[in-house]
Amino acid sequence: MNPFHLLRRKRDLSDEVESHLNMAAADYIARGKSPADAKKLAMREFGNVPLVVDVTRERWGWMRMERLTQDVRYALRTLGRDRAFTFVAVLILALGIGANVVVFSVVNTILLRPLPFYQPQNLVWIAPVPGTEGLSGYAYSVDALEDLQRMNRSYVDVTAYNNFTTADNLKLTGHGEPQPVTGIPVAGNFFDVLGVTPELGRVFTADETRSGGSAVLLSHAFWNRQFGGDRSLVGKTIRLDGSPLTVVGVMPETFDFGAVFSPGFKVDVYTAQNMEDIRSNGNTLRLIARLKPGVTLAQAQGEALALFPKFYWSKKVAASQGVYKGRDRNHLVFLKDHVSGALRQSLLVLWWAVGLILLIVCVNISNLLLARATARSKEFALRMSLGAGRARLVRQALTESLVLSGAGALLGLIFAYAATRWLAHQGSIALPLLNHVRVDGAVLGWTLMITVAVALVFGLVQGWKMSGGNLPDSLKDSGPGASGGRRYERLRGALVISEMALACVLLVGAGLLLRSFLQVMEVNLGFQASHAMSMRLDYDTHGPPIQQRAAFLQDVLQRVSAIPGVEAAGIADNLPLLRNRGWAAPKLKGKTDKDGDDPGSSVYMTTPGYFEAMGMHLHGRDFGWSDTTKSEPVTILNQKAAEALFPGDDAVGHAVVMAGKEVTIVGVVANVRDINVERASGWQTYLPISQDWDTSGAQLVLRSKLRAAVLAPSVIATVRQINPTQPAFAMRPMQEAVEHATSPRRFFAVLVGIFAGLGLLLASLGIYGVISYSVSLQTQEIGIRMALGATRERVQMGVIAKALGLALIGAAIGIVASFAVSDAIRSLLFATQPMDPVTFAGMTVLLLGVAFVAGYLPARRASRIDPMTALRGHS
Amino acid sequence: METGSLYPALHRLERQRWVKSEWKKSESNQRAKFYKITARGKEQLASDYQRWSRLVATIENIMTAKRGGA
Repeated sequence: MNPFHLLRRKRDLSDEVESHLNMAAADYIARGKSPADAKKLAMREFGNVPLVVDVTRERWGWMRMERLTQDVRYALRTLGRDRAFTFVAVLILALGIGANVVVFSVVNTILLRPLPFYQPQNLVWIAPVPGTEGLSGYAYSVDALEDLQRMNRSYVDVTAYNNFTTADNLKLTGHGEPQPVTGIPVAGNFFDVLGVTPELGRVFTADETRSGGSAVLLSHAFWNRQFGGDRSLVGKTIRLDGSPLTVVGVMPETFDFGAVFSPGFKVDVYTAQNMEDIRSNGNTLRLIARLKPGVTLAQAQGEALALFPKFYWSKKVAASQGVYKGRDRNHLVFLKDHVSGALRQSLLVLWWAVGLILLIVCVNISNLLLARATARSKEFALRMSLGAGRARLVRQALTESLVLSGAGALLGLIFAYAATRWLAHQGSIALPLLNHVRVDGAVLGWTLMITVAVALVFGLVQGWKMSGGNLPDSLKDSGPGASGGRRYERLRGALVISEMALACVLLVGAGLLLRSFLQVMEVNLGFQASHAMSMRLDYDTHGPPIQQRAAFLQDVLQRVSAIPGVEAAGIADNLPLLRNRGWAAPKLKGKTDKDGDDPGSSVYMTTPGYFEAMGMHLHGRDFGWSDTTKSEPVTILNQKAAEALFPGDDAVGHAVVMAGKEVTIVGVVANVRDINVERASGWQTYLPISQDWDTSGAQLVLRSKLRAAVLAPSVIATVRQINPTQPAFAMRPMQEAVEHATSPRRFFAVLVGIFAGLGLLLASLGIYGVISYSVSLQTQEIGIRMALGATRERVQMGVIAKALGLALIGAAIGIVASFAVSDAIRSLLFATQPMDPVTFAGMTVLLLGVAFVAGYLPARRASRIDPMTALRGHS
Repeated sequence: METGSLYPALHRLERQRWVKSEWKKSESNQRAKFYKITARGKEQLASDYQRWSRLVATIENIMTAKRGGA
């Protein structure tokens, strides 16, 4: 509908009427009337001009639209007149809607949207049921992958990626000083199975997969950062860890390996995994398969149960057939469930929480509108008596609500846009796909939906209430002293109570989640993360003989320890919470493995000084540089392993068998939370690097009061004295790893906490509004009471008691509702009871405290009423 | 009857495209809007007229029958 077209038609109509009148007048003049008389007669003959114009325009069928624009204009005018109200209402709406939009965009990205792959609903994640045995427990051997590829009937294809990658695991040379690069080796068919095509160039060929190591694909971000988006790079050679690799392609920006498979992990390059290199390394691959069309997950699972027991851990070890037996060792889930399944409940809780916020916002706005309605009831009564229908008034109220919530939604969207952009750049929060969070079409649709829903809720309440009044009463009702002003007080009281109850539920929920988070932060990790930091050393695991490599590490540690500020230094190949490996657990001499009773053990290769640098409590002795391949093989176990092997006895001095070798236990260290902060530790075994175990890399660990960034340059310079090719690997505080591991819990706890705070604020605004309004209505009454001898304190107490009364009823209802809610979030809690009395009591006190403040402000005003002024008039 | 009541009717007819309008000069050299029946309007008129005739005929029949019977 074009408003200009409408305008033209209106002018056309008035022209038409005018020409009619002119002609009629001309006729009268022709019959001898004076021009003035002729005009009057013509008008009389024509009838009521505005009425004719109105009725004619109605024939055009556009009246509905016209009324709407009229309503909108009227709404804008009334809202514009009441600036303070409009400002507060729009702000509250913007906060409520904005918070909902942000949460929806997160929920949409992680839970609702399909994964950014081709037909992602057919992708299956094959993994053991998570246990305590660490990363190796999640993985499969090359022989198992190849057998599965050959023997299955369920899949289009099966692919894999290497499980043992850490940040900065490669160094790029030939472009200035050596650069740390994060690469992940993937099976050659990885991108084909996912159905991802490169932005530039091609993916790996079968040939490159077999020979391995000669082709590399770059991530979009790395290509831009390191090579300035140079399109001619494809086909050229770059040097990674000394070997020349041909850049065959660049992956598109939308493909982010870390976002899906390892949240918070940025991958720079993808290399083709040479399977022969890792064939004897055991469980190193994580499997993804694409189901054939028509094959269900249950069918594939059935096949897996039959197939996996036939696979070998290594075909060279005949006895290793059957290690993947049992449902626990081959569990199939859709890839989507693997990525976001664990977060589903947290996200749903978050969604509920913002839903409650929106409800509180609705109640709050209704409350504000009702306060205005009292003032406006005369206006509405007047309009009704002038002939406005009840439906028209309700529609007018609805239009006003829509204008309000629309304005709130616009502001909320701006806020949500900023918030989602910020979230998308939070690499440190370990939530999958978080970098894909944005305001998109679905989010806009959701915004529109809640905007209309919100407007309907408070618009209908208000329209109904206002237009339902008694006409003569409303017209008579004048001024705040009269009884009519209290018409809505009961309803407003009920609204405030429900606000309080909702806020109470939010507070208790947030309290439980925050307490759980604090409990997680209190967990004894087994090492002192503060003041510990780590940096990767450029160290060739398979290079020169062990004596030479050990000497290199000893030299590094000696020099680094001499740096001022370094209190202790040590080296390990894996670090807790960053990377780990699992082997079969150490056994007592003479014991063989019965099927399935191997608890498994994390294994760390370390140098002397590691435990001190990590701040781990050690009983017995540390490894020494005198522990060599020529001396007695030694090991250090964690308490859990030691107690399980030698219950009630000191393990130190005993011998166990590890990987077929007899080793003597020289020490027992604290249990380290190495895989998951929230799950109890499993067995942990430490072996000296100097006794030539299968070491994978070297992480330098330092203990120092200096900050990592301050220490890093001198450490790198020192290491470069011995090894000039040491890249500028980042020095990372161990605390960062802890924070990364706990970041999802922190994310949810903080968000729910913010929402609870918002809910509390809104609810207290509600109480404040109702109480201060009732004080202004009671000015005269209070004046009379004070004149009759009521003290200021008494007046004050009366008002506060009223506020607390509302809050108490609300809190009581809220507490009852919270029992149900806390039970529903039971599985999200950590070391916190759903009925945690501290949380419940604390939150109730907080709620009542805030209600007290909200009641105190109007109470103080009430007590300052001057009886004389109050009695004299309406002021 | 007031002449003004013509306009709602005219505009409704125009909306149904049974008549079309045009601004022209009248004989007295005044700008005026001229309405003209369209082909569609003629069809409609014919069918309405037919219905009207049938209605009149039916009523006529009923009335004569009644009169005849009384």
